[in-house]
Amino acid sequence: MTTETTNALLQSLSSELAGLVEQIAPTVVRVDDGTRLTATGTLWSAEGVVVTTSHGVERDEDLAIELADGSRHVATLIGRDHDTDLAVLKVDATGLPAIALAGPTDAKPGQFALALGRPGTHGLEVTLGLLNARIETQSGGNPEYILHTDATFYPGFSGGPLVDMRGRLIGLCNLNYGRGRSVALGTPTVAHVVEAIVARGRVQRGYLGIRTQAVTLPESVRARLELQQAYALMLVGIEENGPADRGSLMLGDTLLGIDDRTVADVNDLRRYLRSKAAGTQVQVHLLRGGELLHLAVTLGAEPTE
Amino acid sequence: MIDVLIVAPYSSVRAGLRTLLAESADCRVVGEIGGSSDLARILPKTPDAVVICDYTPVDGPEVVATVGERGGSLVVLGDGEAGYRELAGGDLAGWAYLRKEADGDEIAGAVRAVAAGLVVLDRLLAPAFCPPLPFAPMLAEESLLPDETLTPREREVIQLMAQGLPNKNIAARLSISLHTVKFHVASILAKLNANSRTEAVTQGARRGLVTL
Repeated sequence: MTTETTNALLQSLSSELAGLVEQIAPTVVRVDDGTRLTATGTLWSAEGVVVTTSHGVERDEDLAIELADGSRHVATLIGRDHDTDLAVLKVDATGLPAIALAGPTDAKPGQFALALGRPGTHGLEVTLGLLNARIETQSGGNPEYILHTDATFYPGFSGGPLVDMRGRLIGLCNLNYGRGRSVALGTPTVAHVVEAIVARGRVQRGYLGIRTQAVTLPESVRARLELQQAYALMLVGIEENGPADRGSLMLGDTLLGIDDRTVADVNDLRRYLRSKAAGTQVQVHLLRGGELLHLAVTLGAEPTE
Repeated sequence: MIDVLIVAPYSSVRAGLRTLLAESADCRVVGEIGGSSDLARILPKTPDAVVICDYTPVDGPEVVATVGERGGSLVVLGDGEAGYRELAGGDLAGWAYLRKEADGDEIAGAVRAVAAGLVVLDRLLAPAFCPPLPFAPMLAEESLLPDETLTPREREVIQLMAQGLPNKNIAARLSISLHTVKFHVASILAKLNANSRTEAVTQGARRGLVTL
């Protein structure tokens, strides 16, 4: 390859990238929650739905969105999902440029990825990297994954899009997930959560009607019952006539797992319940009086009143 | 119906306990006596009675021993470690150790529990006396001090926060003002030592404050 061809290739790559950024830039907005550090948001629909990270929106009221053209719009918080750290905002505008979504099979390790953000008041910032890893987080019938990239996420990038070389959203940037690493939540999960929040103001998940506290499993119990997990959840509250109550769970039972999942932390439980709809029957694995017990429980819906 | 025998050196204390127990339909006071000497005489006549003892360092150990000899059940109202040690080392079928300030519901609850052969420890005394639990709380710093527990209203608010609802919707759901919701949210964050709503929800769920 001659030097001229190499230069031409590089120039072409460079201008392609710049063109791509220009194309996506209008979908990347600044989220102003009144705090010093602003966050980034991604325009989800032409009707003014904006998705961002929940941790980037510290306040519930007095929120504003700044579009790429500098125009400022009052925004309303529609809802949050703490499990995925997403927040959905709405601005009163139409005809906005919404981001295109990549499909579940479009995010492959090794491909290029661009991360875009509007931190602070400097306007758009862009970084480029490889998609380093795709980590499947749960099945639950739907493809769910998080993405690792070496495109750097700077403070304020949370809520911005991670896009492929066709300008489609493959994930939503989140600085909190990776503790320093650049991690993005895969588009299918983002879509699922945004659609649920727009439709109902919240994400519906399977409901057991229990309150739990993490406990350490004694070594003797683990050895006797051949348990791998060191922690489990003790039931410290059971809603009267709730799903768990109807399934004969009792106060003081220690929850070890549901179906084929180990439950060692309340987040394991929350994540699993998120993937299950009301009406689903689950198998609950318990420790009661030092013995293993398996009960079938039909999940309910979270009470709305 | 559970028969109850009151042992207390002062008649005013005996009268107070009788009044408190009168509010419980399933407890019947069958005798009131001043100390262990009378107890040894009366106890054989009411073998199934739960004894409630206003503990004194002088006569208390003797009361515990007397009830223990007959394998009976005992509720002790005490304030020091000595009474607890006597009970824990004794030979009782069921026993309870409550603060002297325990209210009627607590005493009646303890009577029912010890009648069923259970051991009851006042929740305010438990941290001081309780032996390490087989299921120890995972992280000591994650357990709440009694004065840091959430109020019933705060529990309602954190439950709705867990669903991801904005303040405005929480206010509508609970029929309270937005200002009040903000006040509750700030209080919840402070009590759970959380910097964000997400952190508060996670902490709340870990501490058994959020129903899943």
